[in-house]
Amino acid sequence: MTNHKDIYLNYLLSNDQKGIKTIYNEFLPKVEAILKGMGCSKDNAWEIFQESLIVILSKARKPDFVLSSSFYTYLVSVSKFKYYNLSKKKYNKELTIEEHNTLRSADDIEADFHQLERYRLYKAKMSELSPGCRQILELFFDQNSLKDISLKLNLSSENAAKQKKHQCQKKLIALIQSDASFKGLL
Amino acid sequence: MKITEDNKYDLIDNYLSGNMDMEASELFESILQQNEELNIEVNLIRELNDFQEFSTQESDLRASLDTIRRDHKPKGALVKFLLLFLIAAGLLFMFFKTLNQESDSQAYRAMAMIEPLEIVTKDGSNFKDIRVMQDLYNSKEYKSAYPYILSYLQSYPADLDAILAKGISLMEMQKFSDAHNVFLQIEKLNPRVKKYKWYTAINYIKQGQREKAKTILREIQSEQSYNYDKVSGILDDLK
Repeated sequence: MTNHKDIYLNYLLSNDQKGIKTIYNEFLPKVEAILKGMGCSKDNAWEIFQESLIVILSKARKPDFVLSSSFYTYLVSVSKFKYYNLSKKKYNKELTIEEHNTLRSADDIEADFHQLERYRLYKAKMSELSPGCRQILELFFDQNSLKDISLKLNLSSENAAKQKKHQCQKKLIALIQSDASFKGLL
Repeated sequence: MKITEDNKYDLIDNYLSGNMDMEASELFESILQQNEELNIEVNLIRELNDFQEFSTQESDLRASLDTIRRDHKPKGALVKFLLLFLIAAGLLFMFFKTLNQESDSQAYRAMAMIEPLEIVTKDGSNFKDIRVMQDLYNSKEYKSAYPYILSYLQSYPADLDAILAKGISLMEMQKFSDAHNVFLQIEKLNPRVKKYKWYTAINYIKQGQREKAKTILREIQSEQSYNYDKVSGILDDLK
């Protein structure tokens, strides 16, 4: 059992270039070989590898996340899921990789990919907001207090910042919820 | 707890930031369980509070991976180039080797050109295993034929055809030095029988001693002895 302090997860979380290079050198050829064996092209394998690392990053950020297999097993299962998902093939939820633990997590992986898609949707919808709204929400999401926001944006008061933030948040939520893909990503 | 459009975002912010007391928090959670729409909205806002940070991390990771990928690509291209270069060099080598083999073909044909032994047709020979010896020799099973040849030569030590067969068998068994001595033996026995020269030359070619082979071949050519008409092509090939 590997815990949250898995060395590879830490490389991703801290954007450790040397560590990420290790992941790249150590695992990309293996993942590429597995995916190519399933009929995936080299370019797609690279895209899937990259996307899988991003999914793992999003998962690893959660404080309660525990890696129940080796990093490699997890990476392969995420990559395989992504490939199956792309190619619309049936995916066997129980994945066994030689010399590694068995991982039964297709549902989790699907949820992780959905979360990633939601995040991308949020980002896209943020860009549809007015510059003023975008600015106030970005400051808020960056953990700035309402007092700081009011000062940075030259607003009359903390309360004015709060009202503005609520208005913009409401607009953003409406944009997200009205997107056709949103319900499918829940 | 009454939730309206006016207080909804305050309540959600308080709940998510942990600023709500336990009682209010439990009450809010029970409302969430009954109000799916609100539950979705709360989860959405929870993720919105998080996605900005994640977006930055994702961008950083993507940039790192792209950099590594870019750094690797030239190396990959170099490896590809080296690989292609090696393949091309290999093909060229094979091409020239084939050419060389083709140009050596006369010499190889000469080496393969061994006259059959026809002792069995000779009148007066009463050697009982002569047919076996001849068949083995003519079917190029020199190692098997060799003991029969030695046995035959004990009865007929001056049979030049049998001595030549002995020399050729030794040559084909790659005992080149022994073969050379046998060919010299023929020269001593009857220098007018020039087949020994031809096979001496072949023996040299088989050992890769081209210059020695060429010297003998030129002698064959000038003497117009056994197989002299084939020498010219072989000499060209051995240049």
